[in-house]
Amino acid sequence: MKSRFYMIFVLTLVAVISSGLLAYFAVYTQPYIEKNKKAEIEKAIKEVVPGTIESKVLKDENKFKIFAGYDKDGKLLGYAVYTVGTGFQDLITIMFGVDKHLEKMYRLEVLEQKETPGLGAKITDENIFLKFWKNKNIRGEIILAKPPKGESELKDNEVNAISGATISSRSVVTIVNKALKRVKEEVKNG
Amino acid sequence: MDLLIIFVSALLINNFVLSYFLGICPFLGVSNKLSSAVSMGMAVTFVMTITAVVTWPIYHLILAPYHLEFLEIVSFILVIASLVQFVEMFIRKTSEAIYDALGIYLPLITTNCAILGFALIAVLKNYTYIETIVFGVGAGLGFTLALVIMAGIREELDFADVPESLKGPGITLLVAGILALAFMGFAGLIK
Amino acid sequence: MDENKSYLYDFIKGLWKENPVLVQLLGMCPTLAVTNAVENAIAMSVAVVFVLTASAIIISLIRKLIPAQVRIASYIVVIATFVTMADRYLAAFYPAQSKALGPFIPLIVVNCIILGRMEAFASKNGVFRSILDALGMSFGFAIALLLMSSFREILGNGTWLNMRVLGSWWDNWMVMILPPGAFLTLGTIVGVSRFIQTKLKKA
Repeated sequence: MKSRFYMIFVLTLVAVISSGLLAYFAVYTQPYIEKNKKAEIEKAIKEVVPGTIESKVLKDENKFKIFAGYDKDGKLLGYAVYTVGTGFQDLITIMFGVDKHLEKMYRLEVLEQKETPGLGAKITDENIFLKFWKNKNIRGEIILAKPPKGESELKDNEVNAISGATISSRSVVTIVNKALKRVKEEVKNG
Repeated sequence: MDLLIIFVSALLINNFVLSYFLGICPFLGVSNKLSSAVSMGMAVTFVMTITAVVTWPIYHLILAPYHLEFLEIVSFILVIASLVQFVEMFIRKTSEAIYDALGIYLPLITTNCAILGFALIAVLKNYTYIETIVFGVGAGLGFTLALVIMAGIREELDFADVPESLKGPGITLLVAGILALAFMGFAGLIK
Repeated sequence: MDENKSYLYDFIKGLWKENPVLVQLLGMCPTLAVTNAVENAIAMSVAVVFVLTASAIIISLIRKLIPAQVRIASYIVVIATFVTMADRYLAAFYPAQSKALGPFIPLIVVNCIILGRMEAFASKNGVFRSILDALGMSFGFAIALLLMSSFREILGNGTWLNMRVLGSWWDNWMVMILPPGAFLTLGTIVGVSRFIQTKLKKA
């Protein structure tokens, strides 16, 4: 009987000490972890909505967020949209910025992806893929140009596919179009 | 539709063994005979499903609401260890046939990183309760699939003339590499 | 064997003769998963050195107080505590590495190297020898990881620790940084190290 009591006592003691230690350590690291998370999102917002000084969360879901970007006088510049969708391999997380009238896309950034290195992963490459997304007309849908066209021949709502990684390119287009549709609804309804 | 994607993805595209590298120890250890590979696979699938059922409420109903996320690792590993013990006891009492088939594999599962890895990834991906359970079944079956294919190949390998120093783990890893190459062909399946 | 020699042996056995990865084939999951870049391998190794050594110190200190029946449970709690610390420390101060390693830092808990050393060594020996053993084993782990990741990053990306080592003439072997490359590299390394060990034994 005594040994069983001792057994439980020791195990409880170990557990209590460990959770105490962890609680202390968690309180110590928490502000840093939160700061990192916030800094990452904020940096992306500033990238995709140029000139943003301050941002406000308008919609905060797991896989869909809208942020409003304001300049230093508090004037609305546009919206940054955070969205997640399926790619070739796994989920792709994207952030893009649109103007406040929802007519023009400023920029697109790929925050997270696990596409095939050397092929699909080129969706993060500025010169091969991302540059086509600058200043696009988004009154309608974005259209994927396949086979790729010369840069001057692209219409203002077309982006080039990456050769050898059409599926990844198309995934990005699909994810963006889906998100565009939602943004328009959300903004219209306030 | 989302559930189907999660299931197929865990089963084939992001196979736990061949693409996430979880559960490599049993993959190397128990894959020399087809019959034991099937039993081990079933045991893992079983425990993984129950882990899904149990760990989701622990994280989302107890840890997260009270900001105790830092106890995630400690509580998950303890829960899994006691769960495995409990399952073993339960099976021994209820069904002799199942116990004979799975019994010796159950204790090994506690240290199988696929189970804890699964619980952590499910939290990381922010799955709902149903999604977590589907993910668990898919991941478990994916593990079984990889193990069974490997065992099938290794039974044939016994008759091959493998260089002395590559025998055992060496050649198993090389075969696994080729298998992983083949599984890469599943990517893009859900599009 | 005199005292000093055996102390030295506690340390160096983990580096090669009883190397946890290459010889004992323990801790394979992180070995395969985080070695696609040297940077990740280093972060992982540092975390393992910390967790293994810290757990060895605590467990060898309290080894006489713990009843045999709850031994493993206590070890796991101690290990999980240090792993959580390492995980949160990385998330707070090295967010990029923490993201790249994903769930593999928490998974150190079930890394068989750690629990194995606790059961086989730290629970039976004094603090000083346990520290030597833990350092030897974790350095052995680090050596294997460094070897793997160097091969994979150089062949797969033409770089080492993000520095260009192969010229532009090099056509990246993409497969090396993908999952199959991990298995192929480890299979080859295990085979070669076995070959060398049997040769040395005969000599």
